[in-house]
Amino acid sequence: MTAAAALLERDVPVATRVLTLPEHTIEIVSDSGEGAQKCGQIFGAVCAKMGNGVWTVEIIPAEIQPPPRIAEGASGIRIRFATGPVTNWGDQTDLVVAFNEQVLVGRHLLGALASDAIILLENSWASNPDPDIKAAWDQALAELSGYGYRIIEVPMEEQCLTVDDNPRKGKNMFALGMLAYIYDRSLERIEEQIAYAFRRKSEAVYAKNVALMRLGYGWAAANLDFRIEIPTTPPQQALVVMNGNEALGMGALASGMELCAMYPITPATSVSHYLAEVFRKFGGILHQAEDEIAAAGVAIGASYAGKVAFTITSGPGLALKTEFIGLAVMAETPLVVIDVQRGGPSTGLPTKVEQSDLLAALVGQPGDAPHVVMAPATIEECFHSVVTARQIAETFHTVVVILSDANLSTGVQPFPRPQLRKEWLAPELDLSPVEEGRRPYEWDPRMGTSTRPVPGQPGGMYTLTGLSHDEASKVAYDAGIHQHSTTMRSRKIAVLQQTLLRPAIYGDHEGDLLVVGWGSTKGAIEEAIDRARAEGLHASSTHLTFLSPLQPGLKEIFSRFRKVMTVEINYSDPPGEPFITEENRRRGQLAMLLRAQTLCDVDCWTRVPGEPLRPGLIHAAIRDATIGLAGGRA
Amino acid sequence: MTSHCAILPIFDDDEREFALNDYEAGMPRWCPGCGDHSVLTAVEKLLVAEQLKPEQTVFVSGIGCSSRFPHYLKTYGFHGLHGRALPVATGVKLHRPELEVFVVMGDGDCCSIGAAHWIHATRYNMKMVALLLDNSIYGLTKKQTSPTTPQGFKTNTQPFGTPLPPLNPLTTTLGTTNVSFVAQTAEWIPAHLYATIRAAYRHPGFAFVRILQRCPMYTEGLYNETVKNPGMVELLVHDDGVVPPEIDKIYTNRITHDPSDLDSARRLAEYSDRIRLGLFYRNENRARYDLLVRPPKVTSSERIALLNEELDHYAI
Amino acid sequence: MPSDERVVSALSALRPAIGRYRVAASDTLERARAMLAFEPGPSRTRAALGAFADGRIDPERFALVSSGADPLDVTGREVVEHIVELLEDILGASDDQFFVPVGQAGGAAEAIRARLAGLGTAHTAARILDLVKRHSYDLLRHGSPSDGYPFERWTAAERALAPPLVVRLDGSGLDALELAPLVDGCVRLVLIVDGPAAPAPLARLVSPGALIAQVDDASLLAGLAEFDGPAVIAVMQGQEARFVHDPRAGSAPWKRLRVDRMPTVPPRKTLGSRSAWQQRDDLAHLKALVEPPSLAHSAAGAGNGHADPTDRLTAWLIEQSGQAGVA
Ligand SMILES: Cc1ncc(C[n+]2csc(CCOP(=O)(O)OP(=O)(O)O)c2C)c(N)n1
Ligand code: SF4
Ligand SMILES: [Mg+2]
Repeated sequence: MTAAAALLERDVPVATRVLTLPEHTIEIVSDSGEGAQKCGQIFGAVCAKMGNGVWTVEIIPAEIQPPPRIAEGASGIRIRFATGPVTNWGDQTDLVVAFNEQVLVGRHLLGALASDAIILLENSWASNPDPDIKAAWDQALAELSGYGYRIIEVPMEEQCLTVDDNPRKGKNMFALGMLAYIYDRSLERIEEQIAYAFRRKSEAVYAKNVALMRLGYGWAAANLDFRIEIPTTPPQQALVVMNGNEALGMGALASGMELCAMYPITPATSVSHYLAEVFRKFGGILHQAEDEIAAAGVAIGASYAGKVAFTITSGPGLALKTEFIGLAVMAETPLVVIDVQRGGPSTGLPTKVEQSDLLAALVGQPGDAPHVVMAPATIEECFHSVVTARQIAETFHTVVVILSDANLSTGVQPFPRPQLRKEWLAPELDLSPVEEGRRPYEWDPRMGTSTRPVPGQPGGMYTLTGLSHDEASKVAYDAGIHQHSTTMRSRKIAVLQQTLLRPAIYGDHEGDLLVVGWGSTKGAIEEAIDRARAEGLHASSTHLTFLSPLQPGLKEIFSRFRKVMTVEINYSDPPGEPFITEENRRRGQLAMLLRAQTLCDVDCWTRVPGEPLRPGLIHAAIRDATIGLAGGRA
Repeated sequence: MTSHCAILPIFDDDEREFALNDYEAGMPRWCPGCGDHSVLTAVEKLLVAEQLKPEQTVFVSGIGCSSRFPHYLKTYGFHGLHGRALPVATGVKLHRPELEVFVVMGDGDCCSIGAAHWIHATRYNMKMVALLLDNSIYGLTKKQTSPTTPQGFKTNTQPFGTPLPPLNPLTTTLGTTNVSFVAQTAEWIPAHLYATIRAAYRHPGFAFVRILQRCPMYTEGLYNETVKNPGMVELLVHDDGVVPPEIDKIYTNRITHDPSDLDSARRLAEYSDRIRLGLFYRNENRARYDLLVRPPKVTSSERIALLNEELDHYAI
Repeated sequence: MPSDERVVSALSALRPAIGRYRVAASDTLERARAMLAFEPGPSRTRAALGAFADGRIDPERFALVSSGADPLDVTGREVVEHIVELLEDILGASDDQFFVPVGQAGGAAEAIRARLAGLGTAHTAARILDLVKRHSYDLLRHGSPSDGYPFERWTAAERALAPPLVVRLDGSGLDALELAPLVDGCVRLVLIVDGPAAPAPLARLVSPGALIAQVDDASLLAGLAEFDGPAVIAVMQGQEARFVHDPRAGSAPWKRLRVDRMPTVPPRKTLGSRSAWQQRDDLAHLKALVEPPSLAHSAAGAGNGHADPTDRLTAWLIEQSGQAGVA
């Protein structure tokens, strides 16, 4: 039976219905290596170009090469797109293209599918000669039929074989064509984007992919009874679209840093993949060191000898860099450390998002090691944060840790094209002679700041040391000097804090509940706040960009809400669980910090699901948290 | 020729002449009789002889007695972390190739905690001098076993005697791919020490010098016999080797060894009854990471233009 | 206009060195521009901190910490503006500025020096910027940036960034000894020689660290880019000797020198300033350099090490002199 016949049988009108909706979330899921991600990236880019808000996120199985046709092996991509801006990956998927029924079941079991999801499912498996496969198919379809999904079987393989004799190749382009039809995307733009995606391949490869895409489009036009319109608003300004790791890499280029030392670790590695391609022509060196310790050492050596350098890593690597970060703090050598967080501890969940490195980044270094920690919340901020980080590192001769995460690293979102400025770039080295008698650590007694000569500057010679030292960088054998130098290193961070502004409040400036977040959860939290406020709840949120030093005014802001609660992707004991008491409850990492800094009773709602928080779940948490708070402060 | 009337002074910053006191800083705080003093003297002599500009010269060290070295020089210095001198030196050299980089490490520093960096720095083969001040013990932390402590030698962590035979820094380095310069010398033979360090300095690549160093505090007597009896020393000699003529009369045990012969270098570097000093291996044609990765110089306008091109790829 | 094929290919072989000079000049230009543009204060700080700091960092307060250098005074501003103009001219001009046509008029050395002095403006500019920065620039004492900077005054660092030159001259006007003082740093001179010249005029310039060559064709200059030292290369058309002395080829003169051709007939006529005897002597000099010494030097180390002291002295001297190429 053909799919078209199936449609007829379902007794739907043959005439095409067009649904107009403000947003839609789609997924393309497959075994890994079937190109679902490429299909989604092209589709997402085209949506953005046509003027939709878009958030794209890859669905990555935990194993690199999981066996085919297993539920846990689902690999692919989710694209959420809307008429307005999109700030997060959303809740559930409205339309799925699945290359086999097992990966579809995988998504179903994870609760990723909306209850009325439309599913376009490859049906070659139904007639597979292998009885096991046939049985698996029957069983999966029986299972899925118990829900409200609308499953449309599509003969993808049969169709694709008319163009390409490798059935594992090309389904992705067929799927792209179907989506292009359903959402009425410009074929011209799709082809442009295909050309860009295959720019390193031959003309023949491009032509074949276009033919497959058109085949999918034609099939959908002939066989589907619906189309979906997500109205577009042509972008008002020039936009760029990229993932968070590319944004970090480009931000580094924009900041003028010239040396990045790293050791490969998911999910940070792709920053270096990007830099490896382009850094050299920017006059930069990407050094893959023998380990993370060496990577930190190389970056510090370069910073000591010239312009601020940086290192990129993820949790386990951050742990190894600890001693060097302490040295950079002690010696006041500027350094930018980018930590793209993943699930932990230990090897943890290498490909999945978590925000569990906050405390390690803040206070992980033995000894007193005050420094700066900040967290971009969007992909755009990934770009711009590097510029600011370098500037702060250089001005305060300090370590700046940027906490990104696996959500930002693979999420793709359009944002206004940065208007580059020369002022962002690191200044050229000044190798002019140093005036007589100048000591390398002449701390400004009030501000704690100091600047050092760089090698090459005549008259400035000194030996940097990680031992406690005096203004001349001489090893200090006197406890008084240690007290003073420790004060100076701390003071400058206080001075930085005094230049910071109060965080913005999303929603009313007072009310029942204030949600406090940091990092990549911003979009989901604000969407949840919108939903809660639409229901009449008095909830607002604030998102902290600086974690060390904290932005000013927090205590005062908190005092205007009945309850303050952090939302984080890290572990906290849920109250009411066995053995958990108010006294022994472990709280979210930001909550711990805020409690210590503000003496406010900051609660937390945190989860470690190995995926970005869904706005719906946060919304539910907000509802729960506001129960009984109804202060009626309208 | 002088139709020009420029009266800009001839700046003399390249014409300065440096004397010993342009390099000496402070009184070394090593024990009396410590071999580190002799190494410092030889290095200072080299600095004067080569007239290295103090501001263009960087000494990077780890942590240990030996790693205090940079503090006693008026060059730039970086006294960093235990075991991690080489990565720091790598960063300095990668970013500022015009600087002269020297690395000073102890045996614990280089061969134990920093062993990974040692192997990889050898393979990177960036131009720098790496001095291993090998006293066969942890000096600073007071007599714990180091990787090069002789078997049976009693230390505070192995009071019944070091159980294992010592690691051989020479064969280890010589066994590393892309090794380009390996020499061994002894701090109590100043002429040999100096000639070796000089050859290392002139080597266009990673020049690894193991310096046998006396620690009268914790390995007293380890080299007593060798110091007294030149017969226990064997010099590697060759036209292309390091053979200071001053010691001809004293050190008469000689083996001719062509430093371009890696196999023979590896054989000779094995521990034997006599201590072998000299240039084991030198190859000036090895791949040099610092040269291979050196990027072009790019102006800020070019950077902005390039980044705008990059953004074009991502533009929608 | 260098329409000559040989000049064009010489200029293209020198492109890396031209690039180095241009990069140095443009660094200085950028510095000068940055000095003019530098206005410490909140608006600069706001720009420098970037968009991430918008609404999060107060640029006025941040500027109190980051202000750094102080602004230029009036005279400082004038001289820096002058420098910007001069450097823009240099950077805007084509590579023809590295070509010095001398022709038959002679005076090659003079012309080369004049050109170097002019291009040396890039160096003076950097020095004057340093002085301005330290508020110690004085027009009377230090001169104007446009005064020209005679090569004699250049420091080693400046010589290492010397602009390369292609010089077209008449064979009779080729006097190596006049050029000798320019063999330093990274000076690169490619002499495009027209008409007959003395057979080995450049032989007298051969020294351990200098790349000296007489060749047929500038395309042989490809390896020049990687060489780190001074070089003088004559591209010749006549029956003169052809040789390449490359310091990288070994530590002894006979290893470094490769003679590809010697003239078949000994010189008999005066050419330019060089007498026939001097020309023959140049050739004899070249021959002497290329021949290994007969004394079996290698035996010295092979025995038990008790080599003859004079051998050792020779070896030592050779070693010392050979070092320049090992930089
Ligand atoms: C990470 C770390 N571990 C341990 C130490 C303690 N420590 C300092 S020096 C040293 C060993 C010194 O021995 P060596 O490197 O041989 O240098 P020496 O003092 O003998 O010159 C040790 C273990 C340290 N400073 N840092
Ligand atoms: S303990 Fe040993 S190595 Fe350390 S300074 Fe004293 S003698 Fe030298
Ligand atoms: Mg030791």
